[in-house]
Amino acid sequence: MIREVLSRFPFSLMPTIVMLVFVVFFLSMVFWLYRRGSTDFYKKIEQIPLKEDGE
Amino acid sequence: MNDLTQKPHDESQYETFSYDDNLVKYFIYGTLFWGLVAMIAGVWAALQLADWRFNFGLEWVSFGRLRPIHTNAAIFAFVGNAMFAGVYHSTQRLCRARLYNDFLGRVHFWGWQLIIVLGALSLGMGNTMGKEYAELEWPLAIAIAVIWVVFAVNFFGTLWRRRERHMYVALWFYIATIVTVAVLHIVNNISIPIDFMKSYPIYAGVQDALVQWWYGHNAVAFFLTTPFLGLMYYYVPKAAMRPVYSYRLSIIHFWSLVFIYIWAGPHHLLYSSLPDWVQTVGMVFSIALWAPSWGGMINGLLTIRGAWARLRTEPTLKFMATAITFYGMSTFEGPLLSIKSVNALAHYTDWIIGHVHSGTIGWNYMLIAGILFYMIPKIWKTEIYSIRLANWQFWLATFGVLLYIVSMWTAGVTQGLMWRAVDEAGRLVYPNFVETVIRILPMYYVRAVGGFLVLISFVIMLYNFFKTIQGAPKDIPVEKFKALPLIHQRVVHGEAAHRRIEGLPFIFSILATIAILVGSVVEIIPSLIAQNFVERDSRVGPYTPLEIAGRDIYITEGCYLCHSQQIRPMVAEKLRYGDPSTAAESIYDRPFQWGSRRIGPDLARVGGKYPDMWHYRHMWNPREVISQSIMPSYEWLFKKKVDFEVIPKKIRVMKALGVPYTDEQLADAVILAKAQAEMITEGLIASGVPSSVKDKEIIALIAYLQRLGQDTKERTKEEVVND
Repeated sequence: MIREVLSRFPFSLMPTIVMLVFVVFFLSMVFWLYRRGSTDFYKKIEQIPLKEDGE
Repeated sequence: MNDLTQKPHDESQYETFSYDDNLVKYFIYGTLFWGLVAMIAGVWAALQLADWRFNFGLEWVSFGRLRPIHTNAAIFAFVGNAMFAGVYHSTQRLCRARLYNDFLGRVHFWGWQLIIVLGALSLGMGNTMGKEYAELEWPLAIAIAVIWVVFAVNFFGTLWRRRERHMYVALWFYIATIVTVAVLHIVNNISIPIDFMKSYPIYAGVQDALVQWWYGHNAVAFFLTTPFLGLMYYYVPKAAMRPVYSYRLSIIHFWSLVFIYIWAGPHHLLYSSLPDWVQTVGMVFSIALWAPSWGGMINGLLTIRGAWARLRTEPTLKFMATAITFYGMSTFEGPLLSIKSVNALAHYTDWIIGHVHSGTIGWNYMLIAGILFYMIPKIWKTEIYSIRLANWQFWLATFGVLLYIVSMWTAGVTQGLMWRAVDEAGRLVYPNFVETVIRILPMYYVRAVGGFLVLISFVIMLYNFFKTIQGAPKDIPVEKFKALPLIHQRVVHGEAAHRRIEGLPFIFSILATIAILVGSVVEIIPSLIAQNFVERDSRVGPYTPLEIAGRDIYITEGCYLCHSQQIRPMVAEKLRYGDPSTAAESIYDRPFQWGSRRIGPDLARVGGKYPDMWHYRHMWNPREVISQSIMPSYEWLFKKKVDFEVIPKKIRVMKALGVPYTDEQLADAVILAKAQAEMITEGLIASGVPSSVKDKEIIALIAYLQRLGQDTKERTKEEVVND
């Protein structure tokens, strides 16, 4: 069954399909990251490596 | 004692702990030792290509065996040890927690060193899977998987016990590395053992090629790149004493990179007999990689904003800035080389060698040097012995790597143009392959000089660190820290979903795994189960028992490192080598032997091109038949006997994997092999060769070479009758 489906699948469309999936994923991520009110959180997080650690 | 949470809490709630920096020290020693070994092997291999006499007629270190020793030492020993040192050092500090288990850390360190030593010995002895960067045979491949699990347990255990709620982005890169390398290594190494140091992969031909380059490309991505991007996001802010330029950009960098990188493997197989749609996916995603790679590079460089003046005086920042610049250059060049029309020129040439060294020397070595210049004085509580020596090291390394890259660019473009040059009458301008080799020999000398300068720079660094550590105070008391455990830290109400996921290593790891598995599954699964993925050709049959033995000798000697077996569908290749290769032709090839370089010509259709005696003389002394050849002599093949007794085991495994051998062929494998060896020897005896060679490896190798391309060759009536 799976072999049959794969044999008939239009693989030539694969680059387009996958790029569309990635673009949706990417844009969602960017909108999420720049949502309102998140700046303070990132300002805090970026300081983690600079916290006093005896060095 | 330092309060790491910096919040007013009940004193009794604090936990006291120390970091396990002794383990970090061990991995630093490993980095320095194996870096030296890798670079010596690299310079030696470069000299062998410039002048074949540097092979010294020695079996253990002929180019085909030394090259995998160099690549494995550089990637897994040098860069691997540095990665472990940096990950263990930074993870403890980012988690405010000691490593999960000291003993596991020691098992990891000594286990990894043992694998490296045994790996180097086995490669020298010719035990190889025959797949680039995955050469180590099955016992060592299993050992790598076990030690990797030990590393993973120690890392995730540390995350579990952390006292910092948020997992900083560097830790995300480490998680992606651990998960992905495990997946890549296990999937690519699934094979069936023949004996203790020999196995055949379960994949064949085009499937094996696809899986191998999915692995090979992502070994670069997830062993040489993602862990070092994590280290960059930790050490560059530390060295610059300012936070990362944009934390948001680092998140975009991470998710885009892990999602896209995994798809790009097929760009190593452009114009091959891999189906077109897979090649196109590989190319498209390679080009898409430009964005996250340069986003990361810009983020790294802009983190140093405001601290540029310190580059003049601080080696740490100087090396880091240069490393990030090389990262930008090599991640520009990679997608460029993946564009099919560029790849048509560059593939199989030295341009690719220049590209990978701009990554491993320019990015990895420079960043490792920067991290070590930061880490060593901190851990040993001392100052760097000599900034002046560090500056010498920097300029020698920079000049050396530039010489290396430019010479390989020049050699690569020259080769590519000469191979494809066709005159007005439609004939090859350079029909004799060796012409294209001789033309680039001066560049091979320049490359060796460049590599030697990099080696000298490394020796200077070794001396500098030796004196630094020697001058460090002895008996440094173990430093104690205190911090609140997570259960006492305040959870912000309304914390967003992504925040929570970032705080849950297990779920975060699952998501990262899904991101890398999407590409892997879509690209690889069709090749394994779709019936129409490889077109069958009834003319193609399995190798004879003696040819199987000869093929394994071909693999042992690393012939695939200089000779491809994949003719691309291009006019010049058709004129030089014959019809383009088809997927069906390598359907019984375990492992596939398409190769990635043409230091010598393609051999896909070499069978029948020359008489047996030509091959006999060529392997004894290549200069006897091609006066300007740079190939080493393989005199030991004329002394070592073919192990006929192991051939039935090989046939049995092949049969189990689906190769259509009959029961009679299996039962008579030794007889058939010896009969074919007799036949080849008889022909050679007529040319004055002693009959004693009939059971020697050279006969099996000739049998294999003469088979290549024969199945699909158009034959004259006379040839058919003679057969």
